[in-house]
Amino acid sequence: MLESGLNPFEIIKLYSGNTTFMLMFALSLIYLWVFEKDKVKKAVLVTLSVTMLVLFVFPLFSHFFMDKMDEAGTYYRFLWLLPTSIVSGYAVFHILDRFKNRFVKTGAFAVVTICVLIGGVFMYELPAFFDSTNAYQIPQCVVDMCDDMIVCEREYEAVFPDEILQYPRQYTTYITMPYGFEMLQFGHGQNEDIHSEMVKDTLNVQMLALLCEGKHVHYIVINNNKTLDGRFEDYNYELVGVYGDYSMYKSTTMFFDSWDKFEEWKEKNGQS
Amino acid sequence: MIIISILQCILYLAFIPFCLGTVISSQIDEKYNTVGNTLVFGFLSELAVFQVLFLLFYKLDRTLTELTCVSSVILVLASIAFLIIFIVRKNHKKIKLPKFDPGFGVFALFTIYMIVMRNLQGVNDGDDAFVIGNALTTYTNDVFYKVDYYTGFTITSDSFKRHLLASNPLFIAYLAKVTFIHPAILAHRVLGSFYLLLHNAVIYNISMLLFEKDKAKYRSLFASFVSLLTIWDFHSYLTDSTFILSRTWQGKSMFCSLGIPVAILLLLMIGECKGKKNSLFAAATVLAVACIAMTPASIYLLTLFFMVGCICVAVAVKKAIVVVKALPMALAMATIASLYMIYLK
Repeated sequence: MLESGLNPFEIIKLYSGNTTFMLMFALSLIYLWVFEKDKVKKAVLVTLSVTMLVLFVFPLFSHFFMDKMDEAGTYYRFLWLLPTSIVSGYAVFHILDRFKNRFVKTGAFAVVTICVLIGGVFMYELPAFFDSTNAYQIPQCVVDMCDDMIVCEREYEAVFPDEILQYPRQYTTYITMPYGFEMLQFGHGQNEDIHSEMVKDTLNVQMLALLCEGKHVHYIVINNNKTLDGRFEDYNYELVGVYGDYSMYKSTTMFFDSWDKFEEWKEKNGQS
Repeated sequence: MIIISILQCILYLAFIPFCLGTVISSQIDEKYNTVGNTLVFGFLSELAVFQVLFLLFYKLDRTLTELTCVSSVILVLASIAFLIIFIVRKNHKKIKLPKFDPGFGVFALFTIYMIVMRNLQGVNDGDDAFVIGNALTTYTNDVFYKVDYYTGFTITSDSFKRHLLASNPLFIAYLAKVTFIHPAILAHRVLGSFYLLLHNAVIYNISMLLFEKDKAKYRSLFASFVSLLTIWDFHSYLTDSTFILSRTWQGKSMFCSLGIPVAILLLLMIGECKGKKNSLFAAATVLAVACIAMTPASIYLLTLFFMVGCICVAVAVKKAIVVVKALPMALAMATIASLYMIYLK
């Protein structure tokens, strides 16, 4: 989602990245506008694209969608309607077809391909991608933590740092959370007090442990890069293990077994 | 269990789409009656049927199990019926396979590469907390939007309503139920690979429309070049290529990889094909309903794109009837948009 307040031209600039691709698309449109003889292809590839582009920047149109329909953050999706790859590809082969000499044709195609490789960015090198180590394509440390949390087939409540907040409930519904990904997506949610403690650089261990215990949180997962101003062991939580960059703490006072053993546990621990 | 899962995947992602697809593809110009078009239109029909049933079952407050049973019965029976009609029909049009030449081999390698990378690489994307989280929560709890997919507690916020009509996460839950595959594995690996395959099939079929007769030699090269442009993207994280390759199973990515290319394919067919074209407009209506399952934004994005496209084609071929025939598609979108208003209340 984009920040609001951008005008359509700024969105096009952001969408275009290093602009090479959009330049290629614009040149292709101009070329096909002049040289394409087939009326239908020209209508679908050129006229439609130009109309969409004109509508996108047309003030009344953009005002309606961005302000009236409150779609400012997703207004860039209108640019998906420009068939950039198809138009560029079609123009390239339309031009190549004009060359009669086979060697010239092959050479020109090689030049275009090299331009694409030099000017482009290899998609799979984007930081969003990571090597998956399990079938779920979920970070292995999250899978390991969740597996160790689920002692019996019942629900356990856990808090996670923001950077892995999205994963546990993609893996299992046995893990519940006092706050979830909505806290990052919408900026608010339930149990904001626990979240505001979790995002501090130096964690107030006493406060966090008390808040979590009050909400019946069985497990607390902490990023090891955070500084702790105390020991969880002093506040009814003990270290279970370290999972990559994260440490997992478990309550020492809560019930973890299957529910049919709950009465027995209550009697043993003298709880009413 | 693995064998059953594989067989169920074949049933729901190959057999049913193929059988449903024969209805539309057998009506279009013989030149374009390809296996790719059959599968693509069939899958869109399957998704559209699921979308309509989901809206009904959600309103009636029914469970995922009931929805799964009813949609499976309808889809399987319809598939068998259409398959029988296809087989017994005299002089039925042959479904064409792509022409295997070195150029097609390169294109096939691009497709395989995309699918392999889809399986090797995970993607760090927050929207999966909604898509996969919602699919898994629905799959486990058997109810629609009663349990908060983010936290696991009773849903208290209205934030889910903005995605309510887009049944894609529930479609993943439905497929997970019938294939016995965990929704995360199903979406990231099986559906991700399947959608990339369909996307490339659409691109190849577009190339068949763009390069005809003596230019047919460029088809595979064009399709390979488009794949290259997708993999070697030039621009930002907002582009369709980024969505297609990274979050393939998410609704908006499906809209980029299938919705828009199929709309372009249909517009080209409406302009280029000879004979009756009513089936193409019927296909556009099916596409519209399927696109809402992908993303609610398609209500205005696809309607605008297809209607403006039809006006452009109508001017090009000098036939105003093209615009009139496209109206049912816009009407379908308007009906579902109205439902959105009712559901929000």
